[in-house]
Amino acid sequence: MKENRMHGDVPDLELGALLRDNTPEPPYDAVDWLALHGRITARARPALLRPAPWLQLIARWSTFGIPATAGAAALLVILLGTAVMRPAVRQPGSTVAYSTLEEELNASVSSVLDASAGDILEDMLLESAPW
Amino acid sequence: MATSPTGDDDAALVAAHEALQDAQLVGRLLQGDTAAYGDLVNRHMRRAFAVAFRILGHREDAEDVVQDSFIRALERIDSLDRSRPFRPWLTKIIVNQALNYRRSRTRRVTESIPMDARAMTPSPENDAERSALRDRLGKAMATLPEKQRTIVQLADIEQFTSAEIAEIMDMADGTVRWHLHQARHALRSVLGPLKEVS
Repeated sequence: MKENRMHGDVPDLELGALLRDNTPEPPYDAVDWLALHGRITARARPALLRPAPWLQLIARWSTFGIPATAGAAALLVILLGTAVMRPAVRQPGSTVAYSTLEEELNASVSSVLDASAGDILEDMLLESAPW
Repeated sequence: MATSPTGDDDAALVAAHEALQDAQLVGRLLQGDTAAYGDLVNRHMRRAFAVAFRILGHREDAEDVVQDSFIRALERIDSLDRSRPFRPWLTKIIVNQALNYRRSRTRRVTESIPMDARAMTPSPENDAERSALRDRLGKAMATLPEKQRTIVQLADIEQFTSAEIAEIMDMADGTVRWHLHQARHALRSVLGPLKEVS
């Protein structure tokens, strides 16, 4: 408390009262308060009519964000469309290998089938012979 | 400052009620209610003018500063900590604007605050003794450095607390109390025993 008193925390009532009583009032009567209020609010109008910061953010996004998003979407559609329409590119080596394997399988299966069919027919003819 | 605990309590209640109303108006303003700004201006215009006038001593300059301060307050309203009262925050803007205005005012001839300004309206106080006392007070205040003069005005005339003045003047609370102590000491030295002067 002593420390506070030393540093002006406790109001000096006597001096304070003397100052208040003898400090002149500002010239309130000389001010046109209505006009001053009008000037302040008129100067403030542009700032008051400005939308709130979050609305400004949305407005800014709608100005630049929507066209940019639409452009990106259109580009994506074009790219995907092109990719679907374009014929698949085949590697020459893999085509050859695929055909070769296919032909090989066909040939093997046919030879097996041909051989089996011939053997079965021969067996049947031999069994049905009169001797 | 109030002299009794009851008076202190009443003043604190009134201040709390005013701070609450200010907070509601600031809330409405932040939600886009433009009429709330007009209400805030209406509530604080006179006190803002008094603070500016006591620093500048010139009516038209004080009006200009009040205008600029309210516009600045609107521009910075987002930076207001809504848990703190509005009035010290606004007063900080007014004091800064007024001090800057006074420093930049070079060519304009300024009126000194007439110590017998109350005499502009007829009053029984308008006597020679009163006038002499005001003259002495005015001279005593003029001997103070700008910072201490402003702190005394805010503390003893506008009745802000040292914590509020610390916020207004951007100083530590202890520094404000030290300046206040120094200023009061200097004033008492210049004025002499107060019983004699009053």
